[in-house]
Amino acid sequence: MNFSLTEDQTLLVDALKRFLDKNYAPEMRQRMVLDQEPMSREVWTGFASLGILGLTLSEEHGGFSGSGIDVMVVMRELGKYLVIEPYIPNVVIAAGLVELCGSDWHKKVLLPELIKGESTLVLAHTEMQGHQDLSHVETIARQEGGVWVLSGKKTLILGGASADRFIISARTSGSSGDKDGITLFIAESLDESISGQVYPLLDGSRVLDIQFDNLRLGSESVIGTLDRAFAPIECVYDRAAMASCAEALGAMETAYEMTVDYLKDRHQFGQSLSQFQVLQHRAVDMFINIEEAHSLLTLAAANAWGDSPYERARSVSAAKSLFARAARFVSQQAVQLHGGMGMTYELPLSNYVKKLTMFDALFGGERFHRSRFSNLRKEEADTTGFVSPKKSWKQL
Amino acid sequence: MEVTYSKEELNFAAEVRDFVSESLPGDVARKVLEHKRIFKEDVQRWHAALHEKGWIAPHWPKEHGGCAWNAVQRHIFDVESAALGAPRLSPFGLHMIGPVLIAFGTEDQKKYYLPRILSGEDWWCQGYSEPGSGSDLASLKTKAVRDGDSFVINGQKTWTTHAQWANMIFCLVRTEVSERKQNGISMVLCDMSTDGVEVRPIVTLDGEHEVNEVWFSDVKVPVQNLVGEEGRGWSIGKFLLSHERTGIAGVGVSKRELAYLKHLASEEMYEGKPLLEDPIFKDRIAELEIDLLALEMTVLRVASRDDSGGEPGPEASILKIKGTEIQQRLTELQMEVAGLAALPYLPMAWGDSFIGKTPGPAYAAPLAARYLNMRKTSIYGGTNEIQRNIIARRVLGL
Repeated sequence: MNFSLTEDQTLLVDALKRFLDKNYAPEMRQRMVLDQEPMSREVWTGFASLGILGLTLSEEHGGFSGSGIDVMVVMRELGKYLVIEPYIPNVVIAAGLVELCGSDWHKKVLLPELIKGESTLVLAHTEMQGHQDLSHVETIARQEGGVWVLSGKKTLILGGASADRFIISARTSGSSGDKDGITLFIAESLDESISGQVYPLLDGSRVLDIQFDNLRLGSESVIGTLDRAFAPIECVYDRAAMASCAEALGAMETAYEMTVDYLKDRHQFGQSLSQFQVLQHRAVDMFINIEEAHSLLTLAAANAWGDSPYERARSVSAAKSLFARAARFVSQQAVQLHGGMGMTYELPLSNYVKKLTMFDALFGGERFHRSRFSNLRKEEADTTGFVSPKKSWKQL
Repeated sequence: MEVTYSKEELNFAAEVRDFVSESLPGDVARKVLEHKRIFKEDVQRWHAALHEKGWIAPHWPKEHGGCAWNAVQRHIFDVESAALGAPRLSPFGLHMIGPVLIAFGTEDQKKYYLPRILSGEDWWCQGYSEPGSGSDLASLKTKAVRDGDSFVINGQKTWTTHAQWANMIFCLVRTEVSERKQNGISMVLCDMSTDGVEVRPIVTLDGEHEVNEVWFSDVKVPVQNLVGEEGRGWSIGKFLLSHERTGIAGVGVSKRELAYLKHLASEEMYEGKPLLEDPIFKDRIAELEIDLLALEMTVLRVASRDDSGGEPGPEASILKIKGTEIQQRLTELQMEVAGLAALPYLPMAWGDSFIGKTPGPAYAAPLAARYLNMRKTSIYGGTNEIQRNIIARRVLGL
């Protein structure tokens, strides 16, 4: 048992910090948000030079064969700087899916350019009714002659506004809610049968909704096994959930530091706020929430890329639900302890509060993950690869 | 980073399990698992088994008869032995005065007392709190006045756990009145059979006798029973309180109690189904289990840093706060499983020899008493509010 970072990880964090200090000052981020830019190509290319776009991908395609812990340390930094570039959607989810279930040809064609930052690829999976049920897919794909024809709507596509290509999930058999019968297709975002609308989220990042009728795709566009996309989707969503916890950790740590600084600086009743015991204890409770979340995150990070779907799901669900509570508490108390100033739009804290407010809804919320945690069955998870709760369950 | 147990660590866990299954007396284990009343002899039998194996002082250096296990090994030992129903050993000798003597004691003190702690010959208790000095411990007033080769002690200690079982007490006493209240405090060792020492029981919420008042009236203690320098007892006392950092979380016991809670909830029926399948109850258990998992990971993070010789941080206080909150929530949920059956107050049913019938299921009888008893955990060893003050000082930098 050893919880220290390796030398490589420490070097990576230092390099990333230096890069973000130079290229991601709060004013620069704010300008990007105001200019409605979904991402900065320069920053993305910088990420590629730092090697983080291929962090966990195999060396064969130009990646670094990194671990979940590597992703954790990178995401924690991105969280501290509130990076809006869609790292999780591109690297953790879409590239992860290609690596998990793509053919050799797909990997050879797609991965090197993704790793170099030359193109972008994201998953279009969520449908508005979908909420947290990953098997909710109503988009239909049917075969006509030698081609696939897709019709449907996808919503809240993270990273969609800057994507060159999409991986679209569609139903090739069964009906919405079935785990079997989901298939992944790759499509160019410029395809004229796809129409879309971009809009911002709370944190200033920009997402995309798309709609397509009779989108025609060749047979080579199928990624992975026909009808069997559910397990790989669930796997990359778990990894994304872990990565978003690490990002929330960085955001919570920064919000906490800002709050402690404020308590020391601000004077009322002739003394600094940090002299008031009730405020000290509140700050301590923020600190404890962050430390406990951090501990559980390391377990999730160690299992997110591991061999056991059960350990992966169990540790990720534990972390994601604990983080939901921590993110809520830390962000709410950060506002409260800043008093009136905490309500202002222009205080840098506000961006962290908004980021943390988004946390629960993405990649499965507290209720979903705690329910999954308590219903997991080891054998079932490891043999089928399915780890979501069944609609009815038997107790062990 | 290696967040799972290594092969050696897993082997060690198996070795611990084998030993405990073989050597822990079955009747003691059953009492612990079923929350029955534990007596001094129960603890002594388990103490003796560990002593014979050479495992009684995992954290002591080898030269003094310890195992010199690292913090991760100690955690594994705690978890494995607790799971099988090992009773809690008395901490006052092994975890408190023992390490203090190793660090500050004279050669004679070490030679005399340490082997007696290891063998269990001495049962120690702790003379810290006083009626007027709880959280503000440094305000203590029990006086020791030098008289030739002796100190003469007068005053009163309180909340003294198992003083009725102990033959030795270590005390913080005032040897000098000084402007700064932390100065002039000394630590002395006292035989409980000395003239003028009187133990008076305090009955706690649950109706049990666990803690006591200890009165000192002209009690003569030889000067060689002074530990460390005269007047420097405060820093020795603080060393003692911060010594055991990871065990304080009680993860081993909480894991056992969680398993017991799930077992009880799987047998107790509610609307035709086991209570464990009630969505609301199940969610409460899951939330607790996740908190416990986070606590265990924190313990391991602290433990692995301990071994690399890092400076003590505010972690011990986090472990105390979260550990005791979880212990208390477990007692709440266990009591909730029993429902009405937890309400009858039948102290005789907490004894192992009870053969009568309780109105509800047998498991329910001791749950309310245990719930009440465990309220102490957030008060003893520095209240959870004092722990927050400690974290605030270190983290907020006040």
